[in-house]
Amino acid sequence: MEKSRLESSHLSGHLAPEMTGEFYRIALDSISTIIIFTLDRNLIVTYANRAAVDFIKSLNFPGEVVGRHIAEVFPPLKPETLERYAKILRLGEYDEEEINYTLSNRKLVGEVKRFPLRLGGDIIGILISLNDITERRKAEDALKESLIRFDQVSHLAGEWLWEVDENGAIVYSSPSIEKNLGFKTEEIIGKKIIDFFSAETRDESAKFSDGLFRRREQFRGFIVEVVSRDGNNFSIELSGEPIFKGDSFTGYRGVALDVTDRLNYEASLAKFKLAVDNASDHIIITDENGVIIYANKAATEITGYSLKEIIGSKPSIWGGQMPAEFYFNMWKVIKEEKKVFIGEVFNRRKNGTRYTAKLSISPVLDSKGKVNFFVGIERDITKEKEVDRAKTEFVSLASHQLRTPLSIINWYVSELLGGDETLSPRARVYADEIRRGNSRMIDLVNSLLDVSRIDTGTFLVSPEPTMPCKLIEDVAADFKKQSEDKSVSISLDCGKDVPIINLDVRLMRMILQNLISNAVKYTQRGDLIVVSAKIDGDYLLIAVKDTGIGIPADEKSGVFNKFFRAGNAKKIDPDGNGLGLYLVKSILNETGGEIWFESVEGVETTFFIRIPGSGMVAKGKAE
Amino acid sequence: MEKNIKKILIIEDEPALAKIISEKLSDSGFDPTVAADGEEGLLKALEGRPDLIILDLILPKKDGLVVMRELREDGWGKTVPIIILTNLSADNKITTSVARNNPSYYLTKTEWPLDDVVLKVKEILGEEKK
Repeated sequence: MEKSRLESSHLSGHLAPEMTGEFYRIALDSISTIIIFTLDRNLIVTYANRAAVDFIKSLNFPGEVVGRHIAEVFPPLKPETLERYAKILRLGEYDEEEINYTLSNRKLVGEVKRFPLRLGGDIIGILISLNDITERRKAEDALKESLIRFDQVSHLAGEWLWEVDENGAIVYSSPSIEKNLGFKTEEIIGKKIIDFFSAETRDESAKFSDGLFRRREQFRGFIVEVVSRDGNNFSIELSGEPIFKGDSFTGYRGVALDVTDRLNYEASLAKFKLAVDNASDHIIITDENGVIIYANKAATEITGYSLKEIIGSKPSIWGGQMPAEFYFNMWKVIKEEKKVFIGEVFNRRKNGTRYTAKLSISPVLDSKGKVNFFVGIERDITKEKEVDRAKTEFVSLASHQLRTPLSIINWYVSELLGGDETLSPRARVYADEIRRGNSRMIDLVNSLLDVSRIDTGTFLVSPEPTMPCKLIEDVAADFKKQSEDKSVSISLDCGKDVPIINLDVRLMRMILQNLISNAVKYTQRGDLIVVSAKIDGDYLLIAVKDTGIGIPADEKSGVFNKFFRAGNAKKIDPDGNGLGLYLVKSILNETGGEIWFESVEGVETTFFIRIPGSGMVAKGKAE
Repeated sequence: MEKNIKKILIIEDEPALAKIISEKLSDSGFDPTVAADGEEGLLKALEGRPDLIILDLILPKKDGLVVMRELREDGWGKTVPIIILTNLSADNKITTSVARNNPSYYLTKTEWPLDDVVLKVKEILGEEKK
């Protein structure tokens, strides 16, 4: 190569003429990363730099490369490539292409540049350079990849990315902004961010923005309201960083987050918190170990402890008044069974006074079913309890006070009617009306007493082994006279398989008496009443069927209500007090039974009662 | 007065009721005495040693259950039959007391016609078989 003096329109510089050949040779040899060949017009290699020689060697090319045809060096040389060489030699045009090649088993990407070599006005050959751009390409791909990734991520995260210049004009707006606000990116670019702010927040935001452009500081979490093309308001949280090129401030770039939902959520959360804070029930939240992390106002008012004393403590500061089994059972329910616990507890206020509370504790579970928190709600029912007791006492006292004059009337009027006193027929009728009215009053007082006992839960259920068929027979026998007077017959149909069942005889009598008494009362002269009992699955099923006046369809829903009387029943028997079926249903509810009926007005009515085969559920002592 | 006439003490604070029970028992051949409060009742019982006591529960000065308890502490009073004739519904306390203080009976005034009360008295005193 030293024989030739190279010149090229692409190679330039000002060197001493005597230095150029030598300078180029050294320079080209010292470029280790770029492979350089020169070819003469016949495409014979006239020069290969050191990198080229090494490259050729690595391709196992035997011997000297200079003096060989390029097609020999890189076989097979494609016809298009030869065509390129011819074109360069003919037209003197620069040419470049990218090729893939393999070196030492590494797949590489190369950038091939071909320059025409000129001497005087003639093209005397070609200079070929091959630059390994694998790493550069990789970096470019990685950059492209990361740009795509960034785009995708920003798209998915729903974040709005923006950039403004030093005057606040938008120079970049991510596709998510277009998507959310409905403005085309072209419409956004060039505008200022504050152009999109809602009228209500514009002044304040503009002030903030002016300050920022003066101070050129980063900012975080500035919340503004923007308006979409459709006129919807969005709450946006803006964060940004100033951009500096060298020392000069060129704008801001940052993100915007749509926080509309979050703000709405926070607002409703705040509402809930306000409600809980001010609820009249005592509400606390504890961690899974029972350490209190939240307590509302009522908790401090009811217990007398301050919030400072409560938070971080356990509810035992006011609790612990119950037997150990109570708490053991409570923890079992809420922590092991993970169910809601409901109970009544005694607690102690800070000042030492005791109070009764209705307690409900709900475990709050995470998605894996592990207990995260407990929510405890207590209601101070001390007053309710007192009122309840007072009410019960009042009712029993009142009933006693009422019953005394009633028994006076009862006994005296009976003596009047039953004794040998001679009464005029008219006086006898009057006295009989007094007796009737009085006994109606006695029934009412008795029913009211029963109702009050049921309402206050102060009635006992003491089931004992009982033969249902015998009991039904007994009760039916009590109605012998009444039914005979109306020539109504009562037929009993008690299955032979009906076993002895645990029943509270007094309550069971009350149930049967009410049902049979109704059947007799509301059945026409000469009709039939059927009382049947059988075992139906796991239950004892008793049915009382009459062919009486029936229950009007539109009054069926009220049948079990306190003091309810159907219109047609009132006409037949104006004396009833409307408590019977209410009592029957209440008793059955309290003892694990059920009642329902089928009725066609003017045709028939059947009342069904169902009691578990295991018997009535016992209920503790009244006091 | 004949020797076999049975003495009955009625402890009842309501004069109208005491009067009619007393008259009715008298008509039926008994010898009734009335006491208008618990203290008087207890005193008359211990002094007069009746064959049977009809006892109301809500009474001035000393309530019926206390009268019954104190009677049972007395040598004679241990065995005297007592009919509790009241309008108070039987709660646990009353039921337990009646069960513990035999011979004793519990009747609700409004539920028992006077004739039946007299029958009960006769039955207890063995004058009439059930």
